[in-house]
Order: sequence, then structure tokens, then C-alpha cells
Amino acid sequence: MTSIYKNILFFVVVTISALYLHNNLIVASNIEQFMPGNIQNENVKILINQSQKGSFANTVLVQISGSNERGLSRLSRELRLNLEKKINIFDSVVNSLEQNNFENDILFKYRYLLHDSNFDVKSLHGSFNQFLSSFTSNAPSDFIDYLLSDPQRVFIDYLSLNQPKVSVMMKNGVWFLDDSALLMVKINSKSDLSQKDIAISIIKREFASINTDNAKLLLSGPSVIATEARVNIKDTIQYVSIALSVVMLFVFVFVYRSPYLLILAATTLSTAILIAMTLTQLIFSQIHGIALAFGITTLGVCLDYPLHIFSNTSTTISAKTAVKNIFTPLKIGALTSVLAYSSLLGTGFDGFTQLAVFSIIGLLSAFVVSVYLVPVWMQGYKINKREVLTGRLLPLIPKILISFLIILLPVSYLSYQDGIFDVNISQLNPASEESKKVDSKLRSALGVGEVGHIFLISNQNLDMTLKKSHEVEQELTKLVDKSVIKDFTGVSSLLPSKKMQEKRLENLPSEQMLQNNISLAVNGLPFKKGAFNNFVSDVENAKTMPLLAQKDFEMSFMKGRLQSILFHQDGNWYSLIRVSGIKDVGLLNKEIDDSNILKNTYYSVTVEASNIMEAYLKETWFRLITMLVLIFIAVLWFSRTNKRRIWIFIPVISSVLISLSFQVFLGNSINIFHLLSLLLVVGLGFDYSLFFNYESTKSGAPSNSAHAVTISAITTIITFAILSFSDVNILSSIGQIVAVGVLACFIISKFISTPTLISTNRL
Amino acid sequence: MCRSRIFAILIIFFSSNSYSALDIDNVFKLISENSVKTLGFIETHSETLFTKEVKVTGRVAFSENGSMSKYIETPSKSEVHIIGDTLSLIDNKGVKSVSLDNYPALSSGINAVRWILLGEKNKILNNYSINYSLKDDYWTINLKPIKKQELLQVLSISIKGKFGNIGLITLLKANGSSIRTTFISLKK
Repeated sequence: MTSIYKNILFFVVVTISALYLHNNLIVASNIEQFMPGNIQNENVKILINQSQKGSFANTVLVQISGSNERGLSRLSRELRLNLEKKINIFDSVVNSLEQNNFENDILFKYRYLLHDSNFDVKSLHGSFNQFLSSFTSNAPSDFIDYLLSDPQRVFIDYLSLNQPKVSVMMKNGVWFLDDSALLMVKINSKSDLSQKDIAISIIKREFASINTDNAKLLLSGPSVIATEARVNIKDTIQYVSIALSVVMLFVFVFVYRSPYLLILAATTLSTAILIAMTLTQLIFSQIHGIALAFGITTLGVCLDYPLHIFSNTSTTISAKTAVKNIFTPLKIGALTSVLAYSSLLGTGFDGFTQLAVFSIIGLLSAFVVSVYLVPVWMQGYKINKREVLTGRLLPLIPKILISFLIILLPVSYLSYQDGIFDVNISQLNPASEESKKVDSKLRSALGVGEVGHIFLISNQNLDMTLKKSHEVEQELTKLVDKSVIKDFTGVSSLLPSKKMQEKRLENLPSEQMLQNNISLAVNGLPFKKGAFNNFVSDVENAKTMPLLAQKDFEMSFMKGRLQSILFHQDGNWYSLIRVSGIKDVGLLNKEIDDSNILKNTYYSVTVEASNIMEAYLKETWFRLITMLVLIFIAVLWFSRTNKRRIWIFIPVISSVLISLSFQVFLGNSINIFHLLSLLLVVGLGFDYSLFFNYESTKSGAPSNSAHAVTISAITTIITFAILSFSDVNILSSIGQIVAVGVLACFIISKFISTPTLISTNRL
Repeated sequence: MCRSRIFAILIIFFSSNSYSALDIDNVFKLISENSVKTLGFIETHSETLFTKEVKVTGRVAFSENGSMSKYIETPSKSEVHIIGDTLSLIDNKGVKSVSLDNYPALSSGINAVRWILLGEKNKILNNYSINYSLKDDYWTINLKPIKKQELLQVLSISIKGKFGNIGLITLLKANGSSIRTTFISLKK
């Protein structure tokens, strides 16, 4: 293929890719793609899915601060009113548990089916006395009117039983936590990612329009965290890109004395990223933010390919000849990196599969552009670079001793450490620690999202699900009585089973009996005859109504509450029961073990998720080690004809161990992203090691390999060191492990992989 | 002895002279100077719901920041605390709190008393039309809510007293019922 055709093909591919991405690119930040897709236990899958995508995933916790109480409560009230008008965007906006017109809710007429009630004379007398007490205590007249229809407060008891247990203050009629007003906003449950982003921006806009007090708005919740993480990831990529550009500019101007080469290197890297993004988007219909950020950083290794070509080109050697000279180590380096990333394929995590595909495509694209296009763009171009000399070559004995030392020391250090692996699933959350703290505080205050200990009941039949839930809740009531747990939230008190509703219906008294009981109950109290006629007629009406169904909640303000604990998925009904106020987890576990009903339905989401993460960590370790063994075998194979190739492997394995040890030394646990980052260390390690090993110059002489590897190491270490300061913990993990790993790899390769003093002399 | 008598006569003369010019501003001033105290009360509710008037007795304590606490003795024991805009009712069923902001009629009655006790004449003027009358040393302040929402439930609040002491508050509701609260000094 001639140079013109190569350039035309390049131009066409880049243009099509850019156009395609411009019209189709979707960057996702929901972390469920980084959740395992091959979990065997369907219930565990549902639980993890719910914790990420359930009703709470659409909840935005709003905190308003920075003004006086009156100003904050005004803002809270006005924001609520403004957001409530947008019924297509928000399902509910709550800033207090006070319900002014709850008797107008659809559930009110079902109250005698929803909650137990007692109609005997003694109980009614107590209720009427209570009524009088409320009246004389200046209870609002609306409430007094309400009590005429519901003197036993059946509906109020039902609501209080099913409301979130908030631990916030009420000031001026709205929720307050410390000096901030709080609201809980539920974005429409059918909203997709972009619609959630719009909803969040609407909250901010509406607040800005009413904020005459210069108050501050702080949003939290999964949707907000996802948006914030997207922005953080984007910011991190931007500042790392700027830093990389500055370093590269310096290197190319100072070392190669050629800004043109910088353009070629940038073109190679950009093309690799562009093609990787295009094909990943085509295959997966979207790219996860983490896969994109991680992928782009891992493609830093791609920069090595043009660097090797530049360093091997000189005033006498053309780029084309340089490619021919280094094709073998370049090819092996690319293949080992591809092999490293292919170990992520088929892990069951969509996000990681995406990352692997992205990286492999990027690596291959960079390789193709470097080998086939860079020489074309460098036709007739001479490079007068600053030389880098070969380091001092080591004799065989010190080399062997150092090799043992750099492998055995970190191995023995790591083997004496306990619990170095972090299996906490929250490590997958790209939110900053600060965001997580705020979110956790608000969640706790508003009594939402308690997902640690859950009982899950599932059945194809809704009523059977409700019946079983009731059985579990009865057992849990015993635990509340024993003070093992403080409380629990289940569906059976919110939507009783048909059997329970029918039982309550049967217990409703006849009209005559109720009238008689009321007459006797008001004895000694100043209530007029007929004062409770509404109450009597409501009881009568309850007998003729159809039983309450799940769909009836659609029009109720309790809809969101029900959705968070009862849902239909893949032909099954699922009911979640959350416990809170666990005094002693060990005691709870014992009680659960003693009860078959509880044992069969109990899940500790944290434990389940940690088990999955642990399994995945083990699998990743296995894959990493398998991959290293395969590469080691390949190195051995190459060493058949040239024994010095055996040294290629040492820097790679030791830099992986040193990098891990350094993290543990810093007091950090090794998480999944540390392990994944090691793949980049392995890729770069092989690259450095291979090129140092292929060195054929004598000690102290100018070396093209040392030249390219030194520049690569400097740029990579600086870039990843900057990344290690990112707010996004995943990206900082990558930064730390790669910066240390590459530094170790570079130094060790320079001394170990280079030919030994003896062999050099023999050559 | 003689000098002290003359001094006493002068005090009586000047004080009676000042009360004879007891306008509404003076009443507000005197009440606010005398606002921190605990009084006994008898509250009579006439409500269409009941066969007879319901009498409530107990103590009420006012503090200088506008907080009020009612300790109801009869017909059944309970407590009502009004702090800021929150009304908390404590009875044998526990504590129930409501925000006065959500109950305009209730807050209308409470705020009228509270603002008068604090001498917040401007707040009174912003929320009620005032009618003031004086007979002998007894004054009457009639308040009529300005806000339509409040007027739908509260027709008027009449406050009667002498000098800096409130003696009787009558709240007339739109449905024709009323609450008459008589304050009594507690014996020490």
C-alpha cells in the first residue's frame, strides 16, 4: 500500500470514528456495570441490583444551609412547592412527615383493612377520651375534624408505622439537621441517566430562582454522586491530560529537539483512544466513565511505541529502518500487553470486559499506527536527539543476588501481612470520600437506605409473597421484643395480604353494634349524639369495598414507600424487610440460625457483596498469575536460543511485588483496581525489560532503547503520580500503583534486563 | 415620716395620672414589661360538637422569648409547649409535634397572644386589624385576622385586661364556636 493510500485510509477511519462518536457517544457512570453479571444466586443478584438501582437510587437528598432558620424553612417550602409542580420529573418531594390532608389520600378509606382496630366499648371510650384531650390541648381544628371520622386514629397509626424513622428536628414545619434544612426528592422512577441529570439541574435551577438569602444548596444521593463522579472523572482526565501535554512538550523539545515528533506521538495516542472509544461504543452501546478514564490512562503504554521508533531513528537511520530493527521487541511488548488485558475478558463484570476491549483495541490501534503510519509521516525526517547512555552493566553474580533480593523481600513482607485485600464493595463507588460521608449522614438522618441486613422474600404470586413476609415479620417482632433489634420495615404492615384484609373485614362490627358501642363509650363525655356519624359510615363503607391491591398505591403518597420494599422483576414478586438498630450482630445471627423462616430469607448484603468481590479478587489473581506464568513460559521458549532473554521476566514480577508491598506499607488495602492497574505495570514492565534486554551496545555507549524507555518512564511516572492525587479513589488507586510499579520496573530493568557484563564481553 | 407620706402621695398621683392616658401603645408596653409569669387559667370551649361547654383548667407559663407552656389539669392531664413555631402536645400517648406554619387558624390565636406579650405591635398590625377601647382602667383589644386563610376559621380575638395584665381572651371561630380563656393569678 502506498503512502497516499495509507494516509487516506487513516483520514477516513479517523473521520468516521469522530463523526460516529459525536452522534452516539454515551458515557455512563452507574456502577452496576462494575457489578458481577454471573452471580448464581438470583436473590443476591436482586439485592445487589436493588441497592444500586432500587427506589433509593432515584432519591436526591437536599440540604440547604447558610441562612437563618426562617429563611431556610422558607426555601425548603418554596423549593418543595416548585418541584411538586413538575409531576413528570419528580415522583415526590418531602420536607416533613406532617401530612395535612392525609384523609384525602386514597388509602384513607381502606384504613380498616390496612391496620388493626378495636371497636369494643372500652377501647372506643379510651379513643374518645383521647379525642377530648387533644381538643382541650389546642389541637388544630383540622385535626379535630379528622378525628370525627377516625377517632381511633387507625390511619395515623398505619402511617406512623410505615413512615421512615427519621432522626431530624422539625423547625418551622420542615426537617432540619443541625443548621440545615432537609428535603427528600424522588426523581421519576422511570428516568434514565440523562433524565436524572436534568432533574438534578432542575433542582439547582429552582433553588437558584428562590434563593434570595444567599443560602447554600448541597445535593446527595446515588444520582447526584453519579453525576458528581462523572464530573470528577472528567476533571481528572482533563488535568492529567494537561500535565501529560506539558511533560511531553518539554521532553520532545528538550530531548528530541522536535515539536513535530510530539504531534506524531499525540496523533498516535489520540487515534488509539478514538478507535478504542468508537469500537467500544459500537460493541457495548455505551462506555462507562471508569472504563474510559482507566482505559485512556492505561493506553499511556501506547506512547512507548512511537517513542521507540523516534529513539531508534537518527540522522543516519530512517524511521522505516528503525521499525524493522525493533519490530520483534515492539511486537512482543504489544502482544504481552494485549495478553494482560485479555485476562479481564469473560470475568462477568461488564465494566471490566469493556475496559479490556477498550485497552486491547487501543493497544493494537497504536501498534498499527506506529508501525505502518509513523514511518510514512517521518519519511525523510532526521532526528538529532540528545543521547542517553547505557547504564553500567552488572556482572552475573550481583545480578543473581539482586534478583533474589527484589523478589524475596516483597514476597516475605507481603506474606507476613494480614487482611491486605479490600473486599468492600464500596470501593467500586467512584464517589469521593467527602460525598460518601455527606450521603451517609443524610441517609441515616432521614432513615433511608438501610441495606446492611435484609430479609428477602420472593414468589411468583404477590399474595404468597405478602403472606410469607408477614410470617417473617412476626418472627422479627419477637426479636424486637427481645431487644435484639430496634425495629424493622416490611411490606405486610404497608400492604397486608388478602387473607389479613379479609380477616380484618370479618372483624368489623355491624352498624347497629357500632352505634350501640359508641353510645355506651361516650357515656360521661360531652359528645353530642351523632358526632361520630362519619366514623360509622366509613366503617360500613369499608365492608363493601374491594380489597386493597398493590396498584391502588399508584395514586397514594405512600407509593414510593411501597416501591422501595415491594417490586416485581422477571416474573417474580420480591419483598424486602430491613432491620435497624441491631444491638449485637452475633446475637442477631444466632437468632436467625435458630429460626428456619429467618434463616431461609436472611441476606447480609455486605457479606454477600464481599464474597463476590473476594471471589472476583481471587479470580483476578488467578488470571494475573496464569498470565505471568504463560509469559514466563514464552520467555523460557525464547531463551532456548538466547539465554539472556531469561532476565526479561525478573523486573516484571519484582515490580508487581514491590508495587503491592508499597501499597501495603502505606497502610492501604489492595482492591480490585490495584490489581487491574498491575496489568499496566506488567505491560510497561515487559516493554522496558524487552528493550533493555535487546540492547546491543556496550556499557557507557549511547543507547536507543535506554533513550526511549527513559523518556517513557519519566512521562508515565509523572502522569500517574499526578493521577494518584485524584479525588476519585479508583483513579488515585491506579495512579499510586502504576507510578510505583513503573518506577520499580524502570530501575530494575535497567540493571537486570540489560546484558550482563560477562555476556556483553563475549558478544 | 412626713416626707415619706408626701412621697407616697406623689407616686399615687403620678401613677394614676399616667393610667388615665392609657392608650394602646401604653398597654402594649405594660404587657410586655409584665410578660414573664405563670398564671392559672380556665378555658371554656363552646363547640357544636359537644352537648355542653367544655371547661379546661391548668397553668400557663410565658417566657420572654415568646415560648408558652400549658399544663392542663382537667379534664385530663396533658401538656402543650409552644416553642418557636412548633406546638408539642404531651399526653399519655406520647409526644406529638405540629408546626404552626401548617395550621394558620391555630397559629393565629397563639401568635396574637404571643406578640402582645412580647410587645410586638408591628407584627400585630401586619396580621390583624385592631380595635382598641378603654373603660375605666379596663382595656379591650379586638383583633380581626387580615389574612383570608385565617379569617376563614377565626373571626376575631378579643383580649381584655387591666394595666399590664391580660384577664380574658375570647377567640371566636367562623363556625360559631368560641374559646374563652380567663387568667387567674396564682397564690404564692
